[in-house]
Amino acid sequence: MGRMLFAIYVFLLTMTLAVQGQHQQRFPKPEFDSGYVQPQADAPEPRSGTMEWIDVIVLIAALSGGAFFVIWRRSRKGVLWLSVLSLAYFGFFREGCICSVGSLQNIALSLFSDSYAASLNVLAFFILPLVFALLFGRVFCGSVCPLGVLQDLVVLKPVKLPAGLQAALGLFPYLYLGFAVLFAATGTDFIICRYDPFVGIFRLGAPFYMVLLGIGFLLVGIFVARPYCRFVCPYGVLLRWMSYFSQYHLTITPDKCIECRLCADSCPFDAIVPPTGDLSIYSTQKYRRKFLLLLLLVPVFALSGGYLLSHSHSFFARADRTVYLADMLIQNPEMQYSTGNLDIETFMASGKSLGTLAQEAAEIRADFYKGTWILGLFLGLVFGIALLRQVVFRRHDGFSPHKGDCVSCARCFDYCPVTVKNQQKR
Amino acid sequence: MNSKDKICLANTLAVITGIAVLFIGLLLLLNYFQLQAHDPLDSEILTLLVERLRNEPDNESLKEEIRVLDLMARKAFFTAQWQIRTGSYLLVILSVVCIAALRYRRTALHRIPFPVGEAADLIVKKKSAFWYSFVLLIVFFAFALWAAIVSIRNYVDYAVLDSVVVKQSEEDDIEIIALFDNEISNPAIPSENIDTDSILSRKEKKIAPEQNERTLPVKADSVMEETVKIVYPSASAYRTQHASFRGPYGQGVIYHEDVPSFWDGASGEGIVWKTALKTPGFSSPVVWEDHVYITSGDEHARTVSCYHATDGRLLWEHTADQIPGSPVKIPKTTDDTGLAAPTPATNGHQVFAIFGTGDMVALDRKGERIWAKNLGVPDNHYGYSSSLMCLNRHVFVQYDDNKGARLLALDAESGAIIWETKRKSKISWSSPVLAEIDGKYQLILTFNPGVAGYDTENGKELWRVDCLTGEVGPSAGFWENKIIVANEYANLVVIDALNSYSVIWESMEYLPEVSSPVAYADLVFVATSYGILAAFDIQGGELVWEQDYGDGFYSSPVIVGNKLYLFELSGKAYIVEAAAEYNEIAAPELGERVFTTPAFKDGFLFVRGEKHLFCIGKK
Repeated sequence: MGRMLFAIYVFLLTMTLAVQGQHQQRFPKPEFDSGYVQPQADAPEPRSGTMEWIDVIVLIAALSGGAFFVIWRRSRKGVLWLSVLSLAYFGFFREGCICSVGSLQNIALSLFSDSYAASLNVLAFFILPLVFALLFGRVFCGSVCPLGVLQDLVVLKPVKLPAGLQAALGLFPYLYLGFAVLFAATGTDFIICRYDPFVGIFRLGAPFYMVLLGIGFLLVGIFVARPYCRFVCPYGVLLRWMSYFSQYHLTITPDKCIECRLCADSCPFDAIVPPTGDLSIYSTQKYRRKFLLLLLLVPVFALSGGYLLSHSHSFFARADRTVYLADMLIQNPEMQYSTGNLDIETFMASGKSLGTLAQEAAEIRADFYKGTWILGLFLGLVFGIALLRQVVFRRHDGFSPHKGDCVSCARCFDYCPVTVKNQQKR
Repeated sequence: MNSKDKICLANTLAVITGIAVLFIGLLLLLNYFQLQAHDPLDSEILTLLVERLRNEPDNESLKEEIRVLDLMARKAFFTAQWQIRTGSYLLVILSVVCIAALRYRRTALHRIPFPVGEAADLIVKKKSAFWYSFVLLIVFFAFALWAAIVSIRNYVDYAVLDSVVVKQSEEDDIEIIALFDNEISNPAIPSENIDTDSILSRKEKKIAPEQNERTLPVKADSVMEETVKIVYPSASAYRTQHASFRGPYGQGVIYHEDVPSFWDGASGEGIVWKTALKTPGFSSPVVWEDHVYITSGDEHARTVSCYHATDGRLLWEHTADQIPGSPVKIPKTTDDTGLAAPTPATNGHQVFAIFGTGDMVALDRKGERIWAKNLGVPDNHYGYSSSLMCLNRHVFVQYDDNKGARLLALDAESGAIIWETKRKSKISWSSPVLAEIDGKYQLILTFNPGVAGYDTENGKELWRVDCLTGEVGPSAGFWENKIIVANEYANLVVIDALNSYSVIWESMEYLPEVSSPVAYADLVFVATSYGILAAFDIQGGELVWEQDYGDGFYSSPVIVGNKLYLFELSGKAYIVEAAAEYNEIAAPELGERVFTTPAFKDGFLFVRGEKHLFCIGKK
């Protein structure tokens, strides 16, 4: 009965949310010149200066609360309720904007563009979660991020993915990060925002594909916990890097691990590293040779990636509206006078010449050439290091959270008999 | 309440909210399908009625019927919107309760499982991760390779634009013909004035013309139809014509002779002909040989008219319409600027006109359209007023508005942009002036904040002096390597082009608002909008003389021979000696207000009055 009800519920949620997303149309503009200004439909209203800083204060409070519940109180309940409040504030109240995940694009653009500067509160949203990750691990993911929390709440039947698949899927965020930075830095697009799967749910209205994407992630998230965070989120890459070096990261047990293995399956994100035992069996000639070979191959991967991607720069540059328009008009000059294409009509009305358009497009394409070289080098390096890691063995004693993958959700606390015993003592 | 009861409650809640979600979901789906089938925004009846109203615009009952139907459609739409919004909120709330109940149930029933079996072998995990990652690496490289191939195959070379625009045929066997009413040569241009560098050729079959471009009408044999060569007048040839605003090169110095110095509009004495202009305009006439060109325009139509210089016959009139990109909503302009303030320009083969809508047309001597395009609707609070200028195959456009400042060189034959320079300038209303400095022609532009010279070949800014401010309307004057610029509430500035464009002197004594300064015989003449004509020494800046005429000047002073011609707003002209001593030669009345600058031809003066175009000379 319960399963059937659940299935029906899921089906209906999918359909109806998609329907309401589809229907975020607006009544057409009046055809008379009344001076009426059409309101922005899908994006929340800009915040006043004071309210922007209130957002930052709430973020600091939430991050501090997360760190408090994870590190000092070791309370799953505390984390859960804090995350619900964060979801309500940053998700439904702030409608998913401003968001640390998207802020990395603002930062990328402001770093590479002379005409754009990210505001201080955007900078705060970008930096603060990273600072907290450097100190306490990914408390932002576990307690604050509305995207993560929404997925966390629907984890009802988590399954473990094969280790290989998980490792491979774990490389996607690097790809996404690279392309997101490339497109943002060239001023082409903020793809993280454009393809944010949950913003449609937060705003109760978005393009159909975005709502569908969000529901898809939530449905998958019932079985594969936090699929967006683990296999898509580009900001998660930065948090993972910071968290590796975190000073006071969450521990499963408050004391010495007794290796009871009770917590082994507690993490729906597969972020618990079991003890490795004696590693001498892996210290063979074979692995050393493999390691050296891969070490030599890493720069080859990086250079090949850079070379290949740089040669595809004009392909990626076509994602930019200016380049796309220039290419289209140069290849089909007769289209300048065609009607029905809004981009062309806008361009023609702007009074810009084809020469100016081509000049602007050439500049953007040159930026893409540099950008794709760097992106290719980066991705080649990431893949190389990912392979290298598979032939390196490090000793682990006891069960411990993987500092990079652990999202500090605190689920594992309740599984540890040492924790439970301590609580009972208290 | 014990834990069993709580689980039972959670179950009940999950069931109830689940059913409610089911119900609301169904309603929303129904609403969706209903809207798909009968979209209130897409009512066929309403469309039909609106169509009918176009044919019967005075049918009041039809209007009422449309209003009622429209109101119903709007109500239906907003009701549907309300249902969707309310349904969505309820759905989210109930979903939250349902998830919470299901989560509680799961937590309450969850027991920590007793660990069974050992953890998976580390080596197996690593091996699997290695191969999966390796496959992904291969996929990544394959994708990058594919993207590179696609990229190279579809690579669009932007340099192709340059080759289309400035392509010059290098074939030597193409016969040179000129296009003057099918004559083989242009008698207006002495052969020594033909600039061989400006003889451009075009292989019509090779160069893709823009859609609106038309080939020049050449009635020749089939071989000649293949290739067309146009002989453009050299820069020196322009001295014998009045091809642009303020005469040759736009400098305000005219080289025609026997120009009349007396007329009387009231009696018709000295008036060779006058013709009524149907539509208003503030542009000045331009003259090439026997053709007088003038533009007019209002919100209904913008036209270029051509009159015979000596008998005043209207040879043709061309309406600048059906131009791609032309705005449907005509930009607002002030009454003293209007939509036809820029003066046209001609190179003898073609005449070019631009209007306040941003529409630009190129016509041949018979009034046939060669090309037309819209340069973008000018964002100009008074109206666009910069006049055009021709040299060789180029037509120069100063296009400064609130969105930015540009200087463009268009190809006379195709309208393609040969080069375009984005300039650091605020909006301005002045016009480009050609000046020969160091043996090379430059375009001199005035604007806020100054004056600058541009290479006519590539648009490169050669020099710049920031010395003006405000809304710059007056264009530059030029005399023997000295550049004269001025604007009201700014300065009158004389710049030495041969001394690193240094400022020789500045004065704030008399400044023009609309009228441009002119220089001749070491004197600078300035006409103000409050009726003062002042002469300054070009070397030292001393005020040589001043004359207060009472009325204001919008027209620019021009020098013909050693005389200065200047029309005041009332239509009265002042002809004074362009010398250090003030000497009024004549002050004839036109009998009609004049805002424009006269054009000349040997023995004739052409001026646009408020309502008429006048030809003055010997009958």
